[in-house]
Amino acid sequence: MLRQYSIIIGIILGCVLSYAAGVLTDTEMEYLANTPLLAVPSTDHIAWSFDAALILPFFAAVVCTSLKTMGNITMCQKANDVNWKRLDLKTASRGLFTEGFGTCISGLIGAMGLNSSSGSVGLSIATGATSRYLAFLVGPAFIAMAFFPKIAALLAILPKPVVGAILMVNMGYFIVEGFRIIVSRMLDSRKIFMIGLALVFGLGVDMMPGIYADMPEFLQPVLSSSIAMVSLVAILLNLIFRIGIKQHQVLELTMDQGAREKVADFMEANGALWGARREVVYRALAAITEFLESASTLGLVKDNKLTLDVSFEEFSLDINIYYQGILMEFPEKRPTEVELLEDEHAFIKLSGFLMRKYADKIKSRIKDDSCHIQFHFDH
Amino acid sequence: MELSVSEEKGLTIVKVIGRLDTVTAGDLEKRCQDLLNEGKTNLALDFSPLEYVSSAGLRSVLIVGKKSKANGGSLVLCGLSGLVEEVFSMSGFDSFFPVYADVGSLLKGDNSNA
Repeated sequence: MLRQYSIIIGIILGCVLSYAAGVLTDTEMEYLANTPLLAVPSTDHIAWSFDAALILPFFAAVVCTSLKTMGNITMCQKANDVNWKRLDLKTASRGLFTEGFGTCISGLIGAMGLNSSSGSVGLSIATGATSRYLAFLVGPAFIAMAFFPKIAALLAILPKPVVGAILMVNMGYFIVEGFRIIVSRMLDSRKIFMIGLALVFGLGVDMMPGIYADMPEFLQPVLSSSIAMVSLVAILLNLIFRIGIKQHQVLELTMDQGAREKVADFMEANGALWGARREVVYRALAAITEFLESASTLGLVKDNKLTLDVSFEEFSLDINIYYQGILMEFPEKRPTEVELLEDEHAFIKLSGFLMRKYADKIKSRIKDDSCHIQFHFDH
Repeated sequence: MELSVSEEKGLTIVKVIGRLDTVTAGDLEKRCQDLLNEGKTNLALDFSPLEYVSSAGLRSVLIVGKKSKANGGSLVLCGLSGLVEEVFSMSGFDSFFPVYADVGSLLKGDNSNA
């Protein structure tokens, strides 16, 4: 309970201490006192115009803010689902549509464009208040605040140290959760460069203001925003680094002493290339290794040569093994302890059973001498 | 694979580091047989640093358990985690032997977290 109220308690204490230390001045308190409690928002400022020169900068802004919103939605999903694997695109598209619709309305009434708040996501993760029903309270509260200028004034005079402290707590959680998402996937040098360079370019904008001052004027809206820089560099590098990556790889293997290491290197390299989930690749590797061991022990593979054909897409990893020889069996029933103790062949059945359990689906067939086994893993 | 042996409270703890598969299973069996020959019949296998176990590795664990029981002792397991824990669970081996979360729990006699 205390965790949920920790931020508001901190804000109140921070404001009290700020007033005592003179950071929150009497002038600001006077401004708050003089702001009316209730007022109807003015519409005098509403006027429409169009400037074609703003199309490109706004397009860049939309791309960057949309990416940011997808990141925020990803965080929200991950915070609410222990078994989270990837972004739910349906929810994300609804979130983006809502934000876009809201921005259109804002534009029509002369207000600022809308963008989801990373700070709010960080706050909900830090306090554990992640229920969607909070939106039914927060939304009307924000609408009501338009008619209560005193509340808006209270937020406007919040001392900078208090605001800074809130951001530090929220962003701490947000950044760590972000890194957890990044490292949940296997990374090769391309992905490391993509993430690293995007961060360097983005952070450079804030750490060295004016670094891009000599660049063309029409690029300045992008080059002066760290979020825009990170987003656009990441998108560009992602597109470039995808060139030459095949989602389907084949390994011709001889079942000798070095076979396991070759398969491990092959799966790790391709897993990193594809940005696959680490646990799925290692599970697939375990299934292949178990197969190699048993096939070698039983002498199933003629000439000790087989072909490993691996294909990957975001929702599945398929391992196809082709060889000449005797088909491996994959029992559905696990051998009992008694069977394992008394029957020498029971461990062969256990091996086949383990392979069946490693994979989400398994298919095997033999035609003449040609054997084909497919391990399917949901990704 | 590396094996590291220690003694604690009358238990001989064998830490299994690396991979337990067709290549290394024989080494575990031999080392445990040597310990049984020295009269150390109450064995504990600490799998906390173990990266991978295959059916051959499971077979060696079962053989060690059978032999320690035949010598009037016992075999317990501890430190199962990740894919190794999953293999022990899928194969039913976590019901063949007492399982402890880690060496600390084993020495306290607490297998409530296993």
